[in-house]
Amino acid sequence: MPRFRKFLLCFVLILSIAFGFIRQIKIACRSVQALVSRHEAVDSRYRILKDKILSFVSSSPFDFSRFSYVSGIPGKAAERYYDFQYAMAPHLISDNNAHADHFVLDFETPESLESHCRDNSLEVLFQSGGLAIARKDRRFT
Amino acid sequence: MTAGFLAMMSYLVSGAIGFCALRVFLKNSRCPGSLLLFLAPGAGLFISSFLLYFDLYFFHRISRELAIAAHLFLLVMLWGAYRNTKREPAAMKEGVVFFAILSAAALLLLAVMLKSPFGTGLDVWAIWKIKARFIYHAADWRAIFAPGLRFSHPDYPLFYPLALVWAWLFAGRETAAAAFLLAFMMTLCLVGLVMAAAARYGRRSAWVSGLFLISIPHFIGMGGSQYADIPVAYFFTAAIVSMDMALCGEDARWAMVSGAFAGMSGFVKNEGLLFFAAFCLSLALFTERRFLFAMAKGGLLFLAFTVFFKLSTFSPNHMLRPEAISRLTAEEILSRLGTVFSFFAAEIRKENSWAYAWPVFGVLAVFFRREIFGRDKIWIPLTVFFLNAGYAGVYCLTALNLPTQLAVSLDRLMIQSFPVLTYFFLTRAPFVRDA
Repeated sequence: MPRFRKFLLCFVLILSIAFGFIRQIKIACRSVQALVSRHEAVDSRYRILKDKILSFVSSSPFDFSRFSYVSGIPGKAAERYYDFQYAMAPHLISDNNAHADHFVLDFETPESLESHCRDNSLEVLFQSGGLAIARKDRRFT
Repeated sequence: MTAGFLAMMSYLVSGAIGFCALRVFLKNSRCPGSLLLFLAPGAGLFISSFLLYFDLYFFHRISRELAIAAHLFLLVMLWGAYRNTKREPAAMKEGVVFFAILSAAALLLLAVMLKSPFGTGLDVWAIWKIKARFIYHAADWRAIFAPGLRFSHPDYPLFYPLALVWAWLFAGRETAAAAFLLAFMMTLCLVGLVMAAAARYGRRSAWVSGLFLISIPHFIGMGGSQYADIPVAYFFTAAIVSMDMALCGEDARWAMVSGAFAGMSGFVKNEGLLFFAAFCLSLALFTERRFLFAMAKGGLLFLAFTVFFKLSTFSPNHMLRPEAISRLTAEEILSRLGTVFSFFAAEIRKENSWAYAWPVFGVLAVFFRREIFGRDKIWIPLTVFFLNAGYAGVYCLTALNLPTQLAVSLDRLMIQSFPVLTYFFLTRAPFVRDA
């Protein structure tokens, strides 16, 4: 086998394997970091929020079977969010934002709720204990 | 914790069923022990989903007692038959490096999965897990075809949801550990399968292909994401390596096993049906007819099972709609093909996803084409080519927005045939092979 071809093959093969491993070790380090520093906080906040929303859903005057989407989960960690949707299914699940017309929003302050609704053309229907039900503002759709 | 342990036990029961079934079928044939070990979980899980589907079809919901009893009965029967086989599988001689690579793969996977133990990506939930949940909880499993759940693609096959349901039934309750274990097991088995099959060409082939595969961030990422693409890649690879065993050993029974895995892939994802067609076509062109017929014989039962599911549910596919296809002009199709190629070219340049895997394949294909593309193994890249040509065809004809579809699915389709390409190139590369 000519030396050049052999060298070229070794070079790209080793480069690919080395680059791939370095990249994955970085991903692994970030995962561990996230696990140590953030996960616990997100987990406990998520658990509290989930319980809060479930009791909110049962006490609110709305028929949640018409709802298609839940939004505003803190942290925006995708897996938490999907797990939340999953926990609420089948009543509160949809394919994507575009089809949603009702939302459950979690908010820190009345001002943040107001600005979020203004930015996203949402109309608040009901709010209690840091949570709100909103729907797309008909004037904008 | 107990539920997680029981979920793991359920997959071990399935793996044992798969191992005995393969061993009984391949009795007296030359069979590397490690290859059998990594083929067994796929075969066993398919048998489990097969049993559960018939339970669903006839009784409309799954009985826990019946499912467990059916599995244990099958295991006892197969174990009895296995003990009567004359020849034991060959002892594993893969060595320390083989298991070190598998351990490294396990560590990389755990790092990804511990960050997102519930899986990542909307489809994991909106397609697979929601179906499993309805099958497990609903009074009638046909709730998955309700109009409100149209977004979960009712035409998608049920291997993945039923594999989850099987673990939940065994555990006695729904547990997130099932999907975690399933993804972990399928990814590791796929790495092991590629290495065990490559080991027939020399130890260096085995560990280079294993290292290469697990070094690809997108491969480990997809494995940890809990999407169904790694399971379907597993079945594609199992079909290819089994056919390679058949052709190398002149043993038609391996060709039947290959057909069975190809047929099973159709019940994992719709892409499996395309794979079966591509596989048949390439074998028809470049191998002896008896292997093609043996493969078709092994695959038709499993394929018929998938077709039966499709016909009995009768749900149209969201990607292809006849009325939209009939409106397409030749210019539009050509322009769409150009878009597909441009997205493909952009994807293979993403070194953060693929490292330099595609340049490696490029170097091998260009500088070692004589050694690589010999007539004896040309059916492997040809199968991959036909499969991907089929995907390109679907993209060209889809009624959905093409750039959006390419952005969300092209990398997933590419990972499906990636382990097969790894096996092919790195067992053919002279430098790797001349150990």
